[in-house]
Amino acid sequence: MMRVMARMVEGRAQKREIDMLFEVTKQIEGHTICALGDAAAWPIQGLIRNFRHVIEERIDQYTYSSTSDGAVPSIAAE
Amino acid sequence: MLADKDRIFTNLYGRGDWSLAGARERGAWVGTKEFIDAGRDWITNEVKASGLRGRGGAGFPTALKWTFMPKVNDGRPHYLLVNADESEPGTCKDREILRHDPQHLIEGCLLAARGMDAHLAFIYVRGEFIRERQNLERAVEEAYEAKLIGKDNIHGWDLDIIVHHGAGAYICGEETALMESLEGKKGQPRLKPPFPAGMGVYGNPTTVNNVESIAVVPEILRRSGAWFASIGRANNTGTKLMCVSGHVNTPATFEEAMGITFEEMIEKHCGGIRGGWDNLLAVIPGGASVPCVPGEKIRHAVMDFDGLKEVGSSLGTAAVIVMDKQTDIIKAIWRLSAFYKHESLWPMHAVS
Repeated sequence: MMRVMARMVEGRAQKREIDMLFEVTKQIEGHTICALGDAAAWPIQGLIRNFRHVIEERIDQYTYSSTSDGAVPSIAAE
Repeated sequence: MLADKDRIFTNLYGRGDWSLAGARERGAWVGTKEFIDAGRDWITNEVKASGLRGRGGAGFPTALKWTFMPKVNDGRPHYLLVNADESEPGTCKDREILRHDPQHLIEGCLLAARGMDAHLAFIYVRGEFIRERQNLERAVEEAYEAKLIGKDNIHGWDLDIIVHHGAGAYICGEETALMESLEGKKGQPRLKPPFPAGMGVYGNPTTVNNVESIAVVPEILRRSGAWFASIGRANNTGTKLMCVSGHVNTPATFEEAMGITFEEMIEKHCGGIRGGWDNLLAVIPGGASVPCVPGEKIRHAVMDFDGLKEVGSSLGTAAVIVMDKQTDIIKAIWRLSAFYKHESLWPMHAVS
């Protein structure tokens, strides 16, 4: 989960992965021995539920700034 | 809004004397013997009437938890275990009690122990809390010296208190992992059932409660459960320590009535949002493990268990983390994920 999140921070992800990540958190929730499995899943659910557009914008921005040969200049530099 | 006379933790900021003498001036240990003499059922019923819900995050009714303890003693001792392993990111309420109002907690232990027929209470203090533990241990010593607790004390209910120092693992805040760690094993959760009320520490009936749940009990008994129930909304009664951090002008920990709106709370205690209300992006209302709520939805939300459920989150430990529009929300949540990966156990690495 964290690795997918790390890519989403940059926008280096596919939009279908957002749903995939949400699905994974749903599978963790309520299926672990202790309550802290839920604790790891809920923040990400909250993010996807409420700030999906932010993640999508980030992905779009990343894709937009990639060049034809696939190299991506730093987003921060823009 | 909470009136000053209704406050339970009157030395929250440590401006007064935290020792036994200072606590007695503020009204601790008054009438405790009468409550002990009134018996187990009276204490449980009074707490039930107050509608107190557990302050550790899940919001389970405290009195109901106590009634799960066996009514008839089958020869095994009963234990009270106080969870002072406050590791939820953003939460800083229990430490204020341990540092500045420890006598509330000790008195609460005695009364709660009477409420479940226990003669031994453990307080599991988080590993990082060094000063807090020193204060607490000193407070326990003082209580022993004054014969308030211990064998043949003046209240007529024997209670020993053991302060245990953890090693600083987030997972040990979970009640079954807490018990494993207390027994000297690796802090890994147990399978439930059996529940702690049937088989807890060393296989004996145990009740695990948060520090704040226990520390408010003496005041509830002194001022009656009806007083506590008159604060806040139905099912969400009483006062609560809230800790606001993040992008507000003056972050603070304070005691407030349940059912205050988010806007009122921020304006009254925290000097407003940095850059004004239009600059508010999102709020995590109950410690790092609950879902975040967008700014426009939280502004008029009610700060209690049911009020935050309506906006798709939960009260948790009432540790409010405010984020303004400068925040990279994806990165913030990623950071929380990194925390949970670091703190998770090997059986869960696959999911993290």
